[in-house]
Amino acid sequence: MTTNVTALGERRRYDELVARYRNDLYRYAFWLSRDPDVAEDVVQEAMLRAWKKFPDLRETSQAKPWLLTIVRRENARYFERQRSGSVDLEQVAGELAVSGDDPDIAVLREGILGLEADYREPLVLQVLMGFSTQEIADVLELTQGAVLTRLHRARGKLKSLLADTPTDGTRQ
Amino acid sequence: MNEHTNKPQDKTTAVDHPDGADDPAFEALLERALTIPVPERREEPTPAPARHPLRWLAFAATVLVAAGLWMNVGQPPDGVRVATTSALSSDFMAHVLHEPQALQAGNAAVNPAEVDRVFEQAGARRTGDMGKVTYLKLCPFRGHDVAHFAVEGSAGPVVIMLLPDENVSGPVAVREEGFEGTIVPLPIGGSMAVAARPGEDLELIQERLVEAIQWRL
Repeated sequence: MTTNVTALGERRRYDELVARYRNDLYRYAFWLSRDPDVAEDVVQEAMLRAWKKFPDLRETSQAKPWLLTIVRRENARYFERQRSGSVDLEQVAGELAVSGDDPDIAVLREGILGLEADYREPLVLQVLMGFSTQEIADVLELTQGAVLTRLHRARGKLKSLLADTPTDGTRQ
Repeated sequence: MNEHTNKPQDKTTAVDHPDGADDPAFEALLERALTIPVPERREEPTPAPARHPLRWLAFAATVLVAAGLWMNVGQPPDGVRVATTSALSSDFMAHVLHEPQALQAGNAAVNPAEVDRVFEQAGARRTGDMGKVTYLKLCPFRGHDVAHFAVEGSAGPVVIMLLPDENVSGPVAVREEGFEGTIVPLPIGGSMAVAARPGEDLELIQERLVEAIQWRL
């Protein structure tokens, strides 16, 4: 019965973490893959792996970076298997658009989708996931300096894009 | 947000913001752009933990708990999905209905040696008295070979499928084509699907099976 209670407790703890971070995990997977269907597949596979490795997670406070790392690896595995990797960014950006959205949001989304992965990923980790540059450096196995450079360049590209776009969202 | 606030501002704060995050309006816009809508959770398999022989204990207890949770009452409790449309429950019932011979009353008992043979192929082992087994087959089901069998219940045959590779996030009630049953999750991973005509004491059957079957892990 002790085994049962322990197993049920672990499962409850796992479910709570997944519920808490699912949106973050999906968004991270989306911005990595730039494909909503792939993002769902990646998150689903990542969750299976997370549960198998769940005993390895000792500190609940580390759950978010731990889960994001699993998503990141699963995304890499996915694209290794698929090897096609072609994404219709215009279509993806269009699918994200919601009637009544600020046109600048759409411009930025398309811009982010078009960023190289080296720029896109640290930006997502910083802005969306709230990671410090050191944490980003740890995840991406870079120096802090390299992370700062990439963040700065990513923002520069997006700001240029926004500056070149009239307020109605049409590119000049 | 209008043009005055959402266009990048001409600031020279690179020292303070080596990452370029020097414009609060732009940062807010950026965060909004990144915060894409998240789709509704699709029906996801419940993650199966790494298998371990000792987890059989957890399997047994959970089946009893989960089955007891709703089978003792007429209606499923809150939080229990009546998944008549779920893919797994539909596949299960489609499979059951596809083999009507399992549902025939009065079938002869299957030889215990045959039970052992089929169970072994399905990754399970008979360790106790399951009652009279009236039907038995190793069936392909959603990509795996599983044990599909029937035991004699008080009101007729009770059909069971052992599904070590199918996971559900909670007890799934099955109600199709005049049958009732459940697909019960197991903390060791996998599930057990049971169905019979209304009026059968499924809890009793499941208790007996839990004591009499062991996964070969």
